[in-house]
Amino acid sequence: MGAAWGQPGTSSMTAWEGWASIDAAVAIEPLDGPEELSEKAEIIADRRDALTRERDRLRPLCVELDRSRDGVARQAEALRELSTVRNRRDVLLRQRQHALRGRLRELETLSLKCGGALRAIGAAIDEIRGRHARYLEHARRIREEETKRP
Amino acid sequence: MRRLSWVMLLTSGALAQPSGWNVAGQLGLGEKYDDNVDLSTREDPSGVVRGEPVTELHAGVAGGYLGEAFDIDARMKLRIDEPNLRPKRARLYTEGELYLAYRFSARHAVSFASFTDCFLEPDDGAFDVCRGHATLAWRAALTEAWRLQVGTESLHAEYFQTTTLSYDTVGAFFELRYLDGHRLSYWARGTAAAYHGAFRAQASDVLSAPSDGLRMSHDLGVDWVGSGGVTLLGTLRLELDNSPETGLQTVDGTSLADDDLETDAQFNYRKLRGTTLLSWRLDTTWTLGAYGEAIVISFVKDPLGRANDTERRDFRYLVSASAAAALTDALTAKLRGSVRQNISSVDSEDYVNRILYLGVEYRW
Repeated sequence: MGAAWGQPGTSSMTAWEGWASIDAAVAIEPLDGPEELSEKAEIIADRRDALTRERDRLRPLCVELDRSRDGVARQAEALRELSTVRNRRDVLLRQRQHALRGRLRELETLSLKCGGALRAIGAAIDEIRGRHARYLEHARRIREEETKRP
Repeated sequence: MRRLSWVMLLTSGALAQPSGWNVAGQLGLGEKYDDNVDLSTREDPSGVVRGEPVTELHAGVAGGYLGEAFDIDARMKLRIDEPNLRPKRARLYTEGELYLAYRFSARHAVSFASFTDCFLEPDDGAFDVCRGHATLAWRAALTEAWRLQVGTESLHAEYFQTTTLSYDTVGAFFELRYLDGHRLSYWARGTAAAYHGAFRAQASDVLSAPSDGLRMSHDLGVDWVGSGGVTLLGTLRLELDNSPETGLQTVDGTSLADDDLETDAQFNYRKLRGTTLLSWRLDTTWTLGAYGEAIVISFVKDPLGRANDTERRDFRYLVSASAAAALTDALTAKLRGSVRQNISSVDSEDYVNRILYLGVEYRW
């Protein structure tokens, strides 16, 4: 869907997906020792922290979009109620309903997109946390093996 | 979730689910006291029943499909007002909606909306009318903050007995909207529509719509969703309606029993109208609403200058307040009060009308 129907701040909902990959930088080489592994774990931790900051930035945006969507839905319902108060909808009411419908559909799309982005970034954070833990564990094991060696 | 799904389906075409079909329904029953059912003037000597309790029954069904690129939404609603003291003066209101939208790219969409509503009095059909309003629009995101919508709209009003009031309009519009963040937007709209009515020169004493005319409207508006569940819609509209025919004075010079006619069956006027719609969701149970509108309208006898005098000037207002309490997930109690008044330079057009309504609504 892209960012075209977005509003300020929404264009970067999935910007993190375009970040440069760290896979090459943290690839484990046969001769990597505890120091190298710890350095690579640091790179992973930096990426984890960046993703967490991105999620923290995204969360309030998604809440904002959800509230806007719900608010516009209530506005549309209130407009519909007016047909009873005024005994029928006149042209102005119909025009406003049509405009609100389009606006609501836009917010609905953005809200779904934001929710999806939040879930995706959450999964990415979980994955990178596991990866970070595995690197630290690997480094710890090598360090232990080195200390056991005579 | 069911409530949200209903609200979004019924009001917007947007569903709680990202795609798929959805169907919902509603059934409502209430009692209201209308202190001036026929909108008669204070000085009306005819001894008509001015105020009486009215039973209101309404039912509606809505269905739709929300897809990645394509939306469809359809709904129908029927409302019956049954005056308790005059059971043969029932009034029927029907509404139908069809909405189709296709997003052919991330920035562009086309939509078609059709609204049809009818007002019927089975025992007195003099002003029974059905009106169909259709809009075909193209919507574009110019930037992240600017939206443009252009399109055509048409209206056909068919009066079944007073056929000379029937008319058609065809026009074009544009709407430019500026989004100031996610919750606030400002918009401007311009509409121009030509109309063709059933006026016949040989029957100029008959209540009739002019044979030709042009109606232009200019709107400014603001839509706001505040924190704490408050929302606001505000509009200001200037409407100019010009027809070369003087025969239409039979419309604005005649007391029409139903205020419902004021919305469309008026011609040759200048109208300034402001509206404000507020809603406030207090919590998951209570929702409050308020609506106010004020209209200043001047009917022009002859806009071409042959007799350029203003024949009639009205000031109308409508104020309404409502409270809705969700008794259960499906059942809502509603209380609503409204006051409307017309203050006219033609004494026989003055009226005051107060309505108090209490009812319940079941949704599924």
